[in-house]
Amino acid sequence: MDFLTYPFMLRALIGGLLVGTSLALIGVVVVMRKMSFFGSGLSHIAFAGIGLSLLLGINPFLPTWGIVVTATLVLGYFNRKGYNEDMMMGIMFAVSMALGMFLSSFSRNYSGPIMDYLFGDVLSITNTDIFYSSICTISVAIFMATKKEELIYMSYDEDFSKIAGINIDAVYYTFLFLMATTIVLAVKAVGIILVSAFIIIPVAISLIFVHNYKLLFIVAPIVSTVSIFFGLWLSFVYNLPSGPTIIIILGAVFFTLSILKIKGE
Amino acid sequence: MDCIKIENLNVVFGNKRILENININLSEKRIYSIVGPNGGGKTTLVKSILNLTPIKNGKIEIFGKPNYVYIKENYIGYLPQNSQEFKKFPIKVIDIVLMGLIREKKVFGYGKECIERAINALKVVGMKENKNKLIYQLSGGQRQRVMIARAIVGNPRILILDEPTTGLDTKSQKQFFDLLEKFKEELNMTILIVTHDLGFVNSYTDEVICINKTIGSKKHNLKCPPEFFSSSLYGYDIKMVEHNHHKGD
Repeated sequence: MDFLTYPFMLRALIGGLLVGTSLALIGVVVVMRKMSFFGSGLSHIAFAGIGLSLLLGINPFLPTWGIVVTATLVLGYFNRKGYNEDMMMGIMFAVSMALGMFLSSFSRNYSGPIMDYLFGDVLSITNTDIFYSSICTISVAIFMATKKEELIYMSYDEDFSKIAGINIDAVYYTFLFLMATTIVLAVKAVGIILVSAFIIIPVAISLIFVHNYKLLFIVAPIVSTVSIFFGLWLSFVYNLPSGPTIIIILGAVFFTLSILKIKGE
Repeated sequence: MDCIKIENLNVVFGNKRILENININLSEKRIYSIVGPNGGGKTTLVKSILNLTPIKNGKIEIFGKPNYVYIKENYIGYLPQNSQEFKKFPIKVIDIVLMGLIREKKVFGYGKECIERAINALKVVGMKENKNKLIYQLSGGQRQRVMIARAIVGNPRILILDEPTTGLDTKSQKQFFDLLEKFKEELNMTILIVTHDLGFVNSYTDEVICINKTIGSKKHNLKCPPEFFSSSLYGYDIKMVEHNHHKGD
């Protein structure tokens, strides 16, 4: 546990565990609602906010958060109105990436910061990041604990859920808002490209041996946090990039367990 | 009081008119069958009543209130079309039934009373023993029974079933139809059932709504004239024969 004696590693661990927990909780609903591409797309929309911040020379959190939350709610609105969610996200995804690149190209020395945001740097997490992540994780955990039935029922049968008395719009938009906020906070730590892996893989691993949605909300965050702990430890000991190390661990666990399950059937 | 009152209902999808000038009054404690050809607007009518599909114009009232107000305040039992479709979803049978009691859920989950009611509903449809199984582990017919339990668990005054006997064998169909009669008699339910089972229509229904874009009866009084089961509805003549297939002995 030597690595925890370094303050930057301790901050990385606390920040990583907070972000990993909230992404995994969000991931359960994302996977159940079959909106994995939506989750992946949202992190790429963050790129437009980062490009704008680089151009203006300001802290990227607020512009990125504003752009991602707005885009999420707009996409959610189109989805509720019956538009093709995949198509809308495909357009928004590409336009945001192009906009981010276009805006940042006006800033000098933009390639370094852009690489940081594309692949993230969990070791750069600050006390302020931990503060915001704590608030976000607590909000996500409370929302999931109190609305997990509604979220799962809506995923299973939306028409019936509406008639049964669920306020579909309120639950859906609150979920999208928390999802957008969690993703923006996670981008700094794990990067735009790797965020979707933290949303999907812990849930995919849990689904191999968990067959009850209630347990998924407990097991997926555990899978995520254990992987983050070992990934950070390995990256410290062998001087490896932290984010990719964690994802490779998650991927290896998923494929190993899947193969074992297939062989066992 | 009319249970459901529909006035001048028109539903249009794009350029296609699905329902045209529908006017019907449904009374309490009766079983209504909605029959008609595929694409005739049966499911759209049901979804309009349930405020699940936008209507172009017209008025729908349930027990004197606009349908969207009534649905917000009260539970209507609903079994959607193809609800028994296979979905590999990690949810237990009991949790599916509890969906019907979401209004009574406490902050962090359901109370003991709700769980007992869900188990009771499963008992009514003969699925109590399967309460802890995953929904995708059941056969199509068993899944359909679970969906029926979900529809009735909230003790609704109105039960709307869209092709409920799909996937049920003959014996289960008879049990199901007997169950509907029991609901009507003992629980005072009004039951609307979309069906292609003309045997059921003949044996169990109080009144028939024939629909192919518009209501079949000229007087709109829901009495479906035998001649309407002809080219105007199905495109070919159907002769209705009284029989005891579903009624049993």
